Amino acid sequence: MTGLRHAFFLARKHLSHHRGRTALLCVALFLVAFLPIAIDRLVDAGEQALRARADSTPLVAGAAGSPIDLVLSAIYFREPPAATISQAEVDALRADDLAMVLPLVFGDRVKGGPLVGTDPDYLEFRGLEISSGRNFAMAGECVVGAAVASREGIVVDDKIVTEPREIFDLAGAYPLRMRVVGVLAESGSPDDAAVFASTSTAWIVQGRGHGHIKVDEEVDERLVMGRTGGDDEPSVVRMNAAIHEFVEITPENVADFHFHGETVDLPVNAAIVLPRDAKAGTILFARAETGRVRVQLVRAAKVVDRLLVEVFRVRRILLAVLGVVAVATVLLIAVVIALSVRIRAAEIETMHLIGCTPSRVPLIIATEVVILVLSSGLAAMLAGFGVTALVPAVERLLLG
Amino acid sequence: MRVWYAPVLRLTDLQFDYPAPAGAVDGFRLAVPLLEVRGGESIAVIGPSGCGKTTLLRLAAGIITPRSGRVMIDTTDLSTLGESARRSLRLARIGFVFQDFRLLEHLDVEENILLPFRLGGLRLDPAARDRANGLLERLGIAHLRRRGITRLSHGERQRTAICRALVTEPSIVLADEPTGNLDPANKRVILEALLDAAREKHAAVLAVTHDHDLLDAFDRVVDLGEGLTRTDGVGRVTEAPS
Repeated sequence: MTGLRHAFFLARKHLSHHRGRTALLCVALFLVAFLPIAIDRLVDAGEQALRARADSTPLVAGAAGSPIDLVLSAIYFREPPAATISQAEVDALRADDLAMVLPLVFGDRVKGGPLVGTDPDYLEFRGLEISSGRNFAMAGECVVGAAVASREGIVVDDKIVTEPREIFDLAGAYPLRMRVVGVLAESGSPDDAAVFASTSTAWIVQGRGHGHIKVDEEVDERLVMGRTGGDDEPSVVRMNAAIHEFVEITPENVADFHFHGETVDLPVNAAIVLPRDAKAGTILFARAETGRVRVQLVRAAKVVDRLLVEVFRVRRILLAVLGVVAVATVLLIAVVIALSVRIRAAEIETMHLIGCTPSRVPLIIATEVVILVLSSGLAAMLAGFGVTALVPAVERLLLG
Repeated sequence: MRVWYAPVLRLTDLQFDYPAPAGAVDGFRLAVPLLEVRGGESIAVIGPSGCGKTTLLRLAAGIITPRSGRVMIDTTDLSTLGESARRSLRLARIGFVFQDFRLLEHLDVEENILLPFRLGGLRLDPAARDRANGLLERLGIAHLRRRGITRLSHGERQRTAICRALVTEPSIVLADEPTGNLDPANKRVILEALLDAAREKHAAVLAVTHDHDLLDAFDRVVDLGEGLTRTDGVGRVTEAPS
């Protein structure tokens, strides 16, 4: 025992004296141990989060195209799918009261998060609680996710402005100033990072609907580009595009807002479909397959399962590559230790001359290796636990 | 008057053959008919380069084995011991001082001095620490106890090495050119410090040296080149203290 204690002392002293080299070896060993742990944990946690979100989303409807894109868009509000369905298709899915259908209109952003136009029932469907305020009820109102609210310091009754769609498009839609009527409690889901409003609000932001700004005597005359008409005919005033940097829907002007064309033709990016029962679900699938409703209808869980098969395949490849890298690193470290033993030849000879037993020097070197491996392994294990905290960030990074 | 004690090292009819260099028919042979070193005695080994001075030390330490003859440390015949036992005996009964000090840079002064205990797996009891402290005081480097080796002068390093050689209270100190790396002003001071400290512990000193100016500090001089032994000073043989 005394011998081991002395070996540990000498090993520790040697390692701490050569701090730079020790740190380098520790980092190399740490990475060898940590990367597979981190990948495993991240993939596992990502898989759980993805599966949980998909499992709570029975069916997703959308335009024909990649089902994976459709489902990921619908559950994470990432880039909208390339094609849309119309509000008419949403209504068709609702026919015969076979399902509750929650349309999703997104693609615009507000305060760094996606603006999701949907039905007020969406919050109840996801089990989202409103920590302050109420649900949105009319166009121009919104409910802010917990993460957006805490990051931006948003509270009920604040006004938030959507991000411009095309800053160089002078004829484009103005950003919409929305009134915050509610703030959601934290749910640990992508909903925390979103802002929810009605589909009408989302369409207005897209420029598919608009109101008219009253040009009265309070308008800055410098923005007036011309007037026509007289006493007997209605006047037309041409204004500079700088007249307003945003529009706002209020109870006073809400009646002025209108959509060009039929509302049923307005686009919907995706819809979450909650059949009343299994039979209703089967009927809906049959209607989608026969073209009675012109949508692609998919089971979110099955699509995610297909995606995860690919993810696991990539993980296996990645772990195999890491395995090879680990073997190479360990061999490299073995070479470093072997070279270090050669460099320490004089020191080792001195130990032998003084009279240490033949096993003492290997014991000291082995203790150094054990200290390096254990400290790096321990750090990798602790960091592995810490990786779990990174899951939401990685999820956001990968899934938008 | 110097007091010598019972023999601590006895080389008898020692013969060691060096391997023949490439192209040569015969190798070189070191022959020592008799060399006896008594406790408290100091012997300088001199001779031209390549005459076998360092080999003599290595034979005396049991690091290499002779072709024939006997090496006795105290009353133990090294030829009767296995490698492990020879190492244990070396650790306990022999101290080493080298020209290049051979201190471990990752240890401080005190840790270097106590190194033989750690290498031998021995307990670092208060007595061992007291001995180390006593030697630090004796060699005048007590104030450097916690200093790193790289921050010491050559003289301070050799004093540290002397402390390390004597800390186990060996019967004999084998010194290979202990003043070879020191400046002229330090040579005699350090050598006398070694010899005095060894005498105080009744330890013999067998030192290889090229410094003929320092030979008067030794009790005897063995000239391997000439093959003769010169005895200086007066000594008398006494029994080792119980």
